[in-house]
Amino acid sequence: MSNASALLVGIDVGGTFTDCVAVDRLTGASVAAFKLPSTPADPAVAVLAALARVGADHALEGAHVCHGTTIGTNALLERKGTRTALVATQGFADVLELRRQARPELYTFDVRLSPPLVAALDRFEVAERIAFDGEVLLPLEGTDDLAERLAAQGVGAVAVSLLHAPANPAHEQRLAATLRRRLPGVFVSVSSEVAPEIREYERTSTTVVNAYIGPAVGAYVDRLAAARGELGLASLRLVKSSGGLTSPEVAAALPVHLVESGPAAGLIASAHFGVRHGRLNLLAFDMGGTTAKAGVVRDGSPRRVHEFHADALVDGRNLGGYPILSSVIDVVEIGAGGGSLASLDEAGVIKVGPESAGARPGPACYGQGGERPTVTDAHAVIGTLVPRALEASGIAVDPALAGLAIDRRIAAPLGWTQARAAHAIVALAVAKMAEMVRLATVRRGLDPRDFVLVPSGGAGPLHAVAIAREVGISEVLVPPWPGMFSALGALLADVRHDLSASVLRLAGELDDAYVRARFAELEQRAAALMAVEPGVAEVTIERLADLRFRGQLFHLTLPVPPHTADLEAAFRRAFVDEYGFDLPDAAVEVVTLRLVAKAPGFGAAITTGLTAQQGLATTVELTEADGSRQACTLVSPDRIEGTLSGPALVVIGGACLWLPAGATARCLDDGSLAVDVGERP
Amino acid sequence: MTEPRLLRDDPVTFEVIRQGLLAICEEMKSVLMRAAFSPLLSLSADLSCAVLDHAGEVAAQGHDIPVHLGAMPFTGRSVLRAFPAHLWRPGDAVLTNDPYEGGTHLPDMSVLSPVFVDGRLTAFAASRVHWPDVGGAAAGSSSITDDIVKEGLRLRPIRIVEAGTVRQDLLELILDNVRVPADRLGDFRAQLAANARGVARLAGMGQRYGGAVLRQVIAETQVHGRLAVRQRLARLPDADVSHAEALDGDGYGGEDLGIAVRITKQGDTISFDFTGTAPAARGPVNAPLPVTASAVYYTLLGFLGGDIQPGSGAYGVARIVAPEGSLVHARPPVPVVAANTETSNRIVDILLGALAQAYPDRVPAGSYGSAAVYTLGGFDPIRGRRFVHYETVGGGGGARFGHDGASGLRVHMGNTMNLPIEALEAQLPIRFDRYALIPESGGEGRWQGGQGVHKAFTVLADDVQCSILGERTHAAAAGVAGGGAGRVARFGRRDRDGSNQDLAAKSGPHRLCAGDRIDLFTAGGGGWGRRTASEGNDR
Repeated sequence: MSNASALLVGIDVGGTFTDCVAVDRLTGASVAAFKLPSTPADPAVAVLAALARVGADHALEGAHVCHGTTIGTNALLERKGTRTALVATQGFADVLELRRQARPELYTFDVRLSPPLVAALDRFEVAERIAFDGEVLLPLEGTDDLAERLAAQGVGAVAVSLLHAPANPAHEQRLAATLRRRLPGVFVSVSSEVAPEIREYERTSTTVVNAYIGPAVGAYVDRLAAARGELGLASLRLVKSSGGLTSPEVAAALPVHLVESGPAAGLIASAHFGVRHGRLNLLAFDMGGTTAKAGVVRDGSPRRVHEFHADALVDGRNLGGYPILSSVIDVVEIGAGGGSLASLDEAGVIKVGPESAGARPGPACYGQGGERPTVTDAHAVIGTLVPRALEASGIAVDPALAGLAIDRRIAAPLGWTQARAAHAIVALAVAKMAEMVRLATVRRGLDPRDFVLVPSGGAGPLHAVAIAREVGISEVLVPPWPGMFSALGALLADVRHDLSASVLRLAGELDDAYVRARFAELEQRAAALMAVEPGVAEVTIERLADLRFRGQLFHLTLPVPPHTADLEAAFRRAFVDEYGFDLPDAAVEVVTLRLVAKAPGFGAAITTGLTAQQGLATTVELTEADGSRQACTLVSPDRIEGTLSGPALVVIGGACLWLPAGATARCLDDGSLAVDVGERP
Repeated sequence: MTEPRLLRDDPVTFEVIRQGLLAICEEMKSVLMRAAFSPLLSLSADLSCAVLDHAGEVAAQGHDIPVHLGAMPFTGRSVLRAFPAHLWRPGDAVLTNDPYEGGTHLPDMSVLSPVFVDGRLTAFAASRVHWPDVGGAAAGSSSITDDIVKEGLRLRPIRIVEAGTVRQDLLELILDNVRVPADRLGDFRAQLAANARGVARLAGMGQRYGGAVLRQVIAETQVHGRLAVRQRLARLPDADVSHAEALDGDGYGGEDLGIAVRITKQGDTISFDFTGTAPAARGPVNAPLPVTASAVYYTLLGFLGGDIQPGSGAYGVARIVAPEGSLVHARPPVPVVAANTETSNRIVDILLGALAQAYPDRVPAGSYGSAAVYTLGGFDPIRGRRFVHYETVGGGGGARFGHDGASGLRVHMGNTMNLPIEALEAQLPIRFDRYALIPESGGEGRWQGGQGVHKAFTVLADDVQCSILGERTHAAAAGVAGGGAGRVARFGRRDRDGSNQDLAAKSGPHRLCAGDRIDLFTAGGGGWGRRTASEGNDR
């Protein structure tokens, strides 16, 4: 990027804290890293406060700010979006509520579902019908009348999703033009613009989420865009679910692409540090208070998928969530974190999660009234919870309260010692995390033993070595600032736009001219998006295709070969690699063409010296499962000379690495720690 | 009974391995859906996976189809009867779809693959997959007949793969007797790929923890399930309740279709006695014992809170008495295909009706009691190929204490997804006219029953065979604790010449021509509690 200025600022807004990392672009070293309490009522307040704090010591003029945000996520999760109307083809307005007709959980009579974001009385139908091949069967009528009814309804946003719009968007476009003209100030979201892919429920859901969070994201983005001008920033960009950056203007039009912004930035950062150290296959593992996430980086790139279900997991129950067709970094999430509650089931087996103590009351040892033991309490009893690592968040720890909770709820009923119960809770938490890691790898046909684990989040580094041993991973790479990793990640992302075109034709029917023409359309759209991103240069283009045997739902995504005629053979080879068989008589279908346009961000500038100088080196005592006490080193990375052998605790960037006996760690040039997990002693 | 050694002494290892077994089931499902050929599998997920012990009992099962899974122990036992332990070799696979001996209905093809650890038969990877067609009188193999022979090809356990080599002669015999065999071949290869993945993962687990520990955990999952069910039961008050309802017709106008049950819950035991149920019907509504048992297991686990891990251990607590030759214990050669989707759901509602007398706060009101299956088949002139199509339609769920019933979803024994209209219209000579909830079709109550669904389509080709298997066109879903009944279902046919015809709950195969339309209105669920004017609706 042009216009070299001194400062790069990464900001991540989370549920509890807003993290900020500032890096000097010339030296590549961090000059500030801190957490501020988030301001949920208006998240921009904390973002602007973070910028002000950086600005107190450093010139912000000409700075580049990159930002991961949960503004869209929160509007969705807390149901604080705008009252939204849906316009659908006559006879099909209920598709949104009918979903895929499956219930998310099986053996319970207590069926719980994510409520539809558009109430029945706000669903409108319009007379029109298009066939699968785009032919108009029934012309669109009554748009003015519809606009009047919508105006009277008093909604703040309208989602338009008509059957087969991807094959022929003409009706949607006419409708949208009328609504935009007749309903000024109302956010209009159109399925053929937001998610032009077949499958009416998933596309409608995506279009509705886009409408529902649109006004909230728009207002937020306007505030940031204004600040960009006032502070004289060179650029301000937002992280999308895909891990790519975009301008506030583009984000405001397609807010649905921001829903997984935070986790995406973390994965980008994992990929960056792994690649820097020559590790191309990584497992990013993020563990916070209530949830844990795992994502895969292969050959240096995070794995992306084109569909996910937002807000499916609520209080440990699967409610189905809201399907979103959007390029998203593939993350497996489970409802278990430091705050997960430990309990006994009726057969006397210890369970960890899915219930969580949440932010309030939180773990028993936080002294906020929590009486049920959590994973964090188990660490408090063992001694692996280091108050120093929590300093940035202003939390005090009382291990006696943790011990009491574990005694009452677990140890006493089982006739166990407190120490044994605490170790069992940690072991089960590790087992759950290990299972999640397997879901992110094994279930996708990957062997976790081929990966390096990159932990982040407040509780990630604490469990990383144990999880690695459990799944057979031999190396853990702890990045600098693991406790503020998403803020750092925001700085490392590329400017990126993902575009797609539905095809649904047999591979054999396509020729080079057709494929070239479709990609030309996508390139044109990509160029238009890139044109409004300031300072973008060196745009690279990837051309991909989703293929499958006709009749399959799932496809494989492959790079498009120079000759369209080679597409089918490439698919058959890939299918055999993945599933072990070919179906010579089956027809191969091209579902979607995908185009990825990328321009490099600031990752190359961020190199060394990210470690804070804390000068910590002391000894603490840990409690073993048999109750014996074990001496353990407690250090900060700047005091590690050569190789550090476990047992040891390393306080690093808002988190704590637990290095059990048998594991060793060394400090790398950029402040990362490379851990050889060794053997269990 | 296995001594629960690990569970007591090393609950951590126990839980780690048990979670691993569940993950294997999920992984098998993922492979199957991704590689499968028919939309019914890849888009609807009409399939189930499980890990069985060396004797065929269920140690772990996926998040799949309850009617498939509850019948799985019967499948395991029947395969082991046909192929005792000493006959298995690594790389073998046995296929069966015999409904009377551990299957569900003929379209459900089950494959068991053995897992050897330290040279010992330790477990089986098992999958059950619904083929959209297995031959027989009507396209989709889900129609009205009076004999199992007309329902399709019946396979007692056969060794379809011998030490890693598919028996081509057997495979061809099967494929020659089903419609659109190329698609079925794709489904079958996907099923073998899923089982192979399961076998590899289980063998890996055996290597990691040792065969003895793996076998111990597999055995103890059953102890754990049994203990969990017993302890939950012991906490509930005892009850002795009876209830009976009649099915909605068998497709031949049969009327004596009553199913009666007496549920006795005493201490930590519970029994389900179907004595008094009518004899088997002429049409395909007869439930094989594994299907009836599935409905009992599902109801029991839901009744106890829904969070006990299902498997042979948990299932085994239920004592079932089902008179042989009755509607709930079909014997050859009576037809059975509709029991899987229709009778099984009605059995659940009947069991819930009994339980509601003693435990109204723990059970929901009656549901649409169905899967509302429609099948199509014929020649597609637009694409120049033969086709079969099978889809289920959701309906109203029963309200329960504190919550309205769910609208438009599958209930109880099934959970297959709908097929996207845009995908179907791109692949079949069919156009949909309407897919909507039916307003006010749920029963009134303090909490309302869920709404039924109206799905309507027009066929675009001539000579299309169409069959419908539905329920509750007469017997509405009952309310609980004073709640109202849901609206009944209705099925109709409107030909292009404008003539209308009401169809029975189960009918077909009809012969449709281009322009003919089918309308399916599924039933609403029952309400819970009386709705009084003063308190209005608590929702």
